[in-house]
Amino acid sequence: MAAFPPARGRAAAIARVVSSLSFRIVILFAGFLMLSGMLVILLSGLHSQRSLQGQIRHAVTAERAEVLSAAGRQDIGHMLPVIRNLVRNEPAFFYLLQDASGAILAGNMLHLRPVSGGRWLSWAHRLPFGANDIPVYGEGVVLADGGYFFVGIDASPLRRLRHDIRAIMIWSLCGFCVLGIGGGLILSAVILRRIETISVTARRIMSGDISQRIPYQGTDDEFDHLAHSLNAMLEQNERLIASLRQVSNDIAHDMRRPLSHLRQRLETASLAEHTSDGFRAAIDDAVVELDLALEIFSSLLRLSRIEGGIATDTMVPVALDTLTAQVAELYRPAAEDRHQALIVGPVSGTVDGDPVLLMQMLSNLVENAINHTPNGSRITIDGGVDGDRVTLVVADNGAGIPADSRERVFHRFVRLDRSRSVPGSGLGLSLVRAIARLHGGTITLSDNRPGLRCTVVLPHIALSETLPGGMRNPPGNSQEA
Amino acid sequence: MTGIGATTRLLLVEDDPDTAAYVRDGLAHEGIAVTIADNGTDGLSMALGREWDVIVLDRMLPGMDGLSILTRLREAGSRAPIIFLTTMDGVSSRVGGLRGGADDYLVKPFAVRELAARIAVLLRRVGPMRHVTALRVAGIVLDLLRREVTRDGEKILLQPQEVKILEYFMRNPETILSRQMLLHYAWNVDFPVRTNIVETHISRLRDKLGHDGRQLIQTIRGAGYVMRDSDLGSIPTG
Repeated sequence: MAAFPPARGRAAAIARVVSSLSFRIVILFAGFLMLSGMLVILLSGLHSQRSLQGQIRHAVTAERAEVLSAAGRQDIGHMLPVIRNLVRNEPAFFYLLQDASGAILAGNMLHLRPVSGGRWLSWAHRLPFGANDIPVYGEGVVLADGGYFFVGIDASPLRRLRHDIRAIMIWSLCGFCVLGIGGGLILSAVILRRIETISVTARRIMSGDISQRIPYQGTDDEFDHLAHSLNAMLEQNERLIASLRQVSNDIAHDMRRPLSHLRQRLETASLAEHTSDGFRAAIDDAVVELDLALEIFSSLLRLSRIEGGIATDTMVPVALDTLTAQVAELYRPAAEDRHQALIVGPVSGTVDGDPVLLMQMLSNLVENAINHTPNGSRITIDGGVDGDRVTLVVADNGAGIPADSRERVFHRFVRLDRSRSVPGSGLGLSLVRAIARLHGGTITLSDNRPGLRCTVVLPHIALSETLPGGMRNPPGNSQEA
Repeated sequence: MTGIGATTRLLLVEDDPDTAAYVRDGLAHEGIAVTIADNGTDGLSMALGREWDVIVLDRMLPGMDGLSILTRLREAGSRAPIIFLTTMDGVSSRVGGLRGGADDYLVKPFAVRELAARIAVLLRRVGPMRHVTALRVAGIVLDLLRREVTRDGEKILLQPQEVKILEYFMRNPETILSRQMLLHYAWNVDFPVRTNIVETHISRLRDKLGHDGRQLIQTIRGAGYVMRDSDLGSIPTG
């Protein structure tokens, strides 16, 4: 066993290389480059060869025609002197004239089988002199008196061409191979560098730096697109993580305050109190503190439940004028204690909804206005029907909310710095939005110049629909009435 | 006239032993005998087995859930007052509980004295004071038909909502009514409010009732408010 690991390691290393993207890119790149190079060389070689063959044929045909015309008639008698004369002067062509029995009468080559038409000769021994193994192309004519005439030409340029093409092919194959591997390496390096950039970013994010983003090359290519998508995802994740972190921090913070107060009170009581009334008072205070903490959980759970959607069969027609009057009545004394004017304008319209949740929604908005505006402020509730929508507007003339925070305040536990001193869980507006959405509506915050303007838009239901079931009693008339 | 006596028999259907013991011990002080069923199936058979003055049903139970027990009880013709215990987020179970025929509901975690107060209020509702036409406490007379309030013969002008709160107090004298109960009864509010709305309403009502309004409707720290006829003496708090 012990002797194997190195070999196995090498095999594994090879397997790793072979399976790597880089290797595959290089092989593919080089392979295709070589293949296309071969194709080009092959095609151009074939073309050259064909044109050379054409030239050779042309020359032979021309020479044959010339000899025949010089002889005048196609018989041995006429042709013999012409060919003898041609052979005498070391011609560039090969000539042969045989009689019907196959005996050579004239020419500079050996005996041939009398076959008419173009033919290739490559037998060296058919040539009486000169190079031993040159190929010859020629044309034969069987004469009228049974004789045979042949004229041919040295075709070795064709062979040289073929040889050259083969050589070029081998060398360029090597060249293309080198180029292909080089190009493949460069290509894969470029791609892998981009992938590695993404991977490095991912590792940095995993090691804790969630603000890391994948850099763009500015080429607007597929990698930039990928980086863009991934960055958008990371952005979203970071936001979610941040809000989660914020929520857990805030829960911890908001819980610690009442709980540490509670602890202090109980500790103080156990040290300082000596009467049962004193203990009772301390315990009662402790219960109040504890209730505050529990209330935060309660609101959180209710928020999740509402955001998750509740059964719509709890929905009944709710008249907004009754709802508004109810909430105004509830908060008017508290507002008056702060010398705030709580003014209810004309409100109309009916929505399908959960009466208690709708009341909580409006109450939270009014409560916010009361708690977050100074004494002497003016708070108005207005509303009306606009087509198939109902609007409900709670506005004040306090300090308002800066435009850049108007979305943020809907998030859980978000409390603007200046309202830290006001009691609250930071869940109120989250609940308001969740309730509005549950009823198919929206809430937007805007500038009331000065102050804050909260506009809730809900789907309106036509009054005729509400009549058969009867209007729900004002929420105040609970089952105990 | 508290409506709570030694004979009050209460069935608690609750699977959590700690909560059950807490309720049993807490209500023992009020003279209420608590019988505990720790699962839904037993709860239903015990509820049907005999007459109960009050039944307290938890929402989530092994065997059979509170809502089903409630429905079965009402189908079987039981008219015992039922208080439904829901979880903190139980928006739909609150509605479901009331629709299913519960008389009141209480959100967990709750204080046992709040449960006691709600039981007292419930028992009075089915008691003899149901059909009176006027309520009288410490010289205050509330005419239930005309919705008019007089004190020692002098008319006091109150807002309709203030009359409603006063009626709640006068129907339940010597009973500590919590902030939540007042919010729930007078305004149907069952969500946390961050404004001292109950306090301001009570303080207005006290002012209108006269110089001794503060003695008449007393604040019990950490618990709520109680109406006491000072002429009749006092009961211990809690």
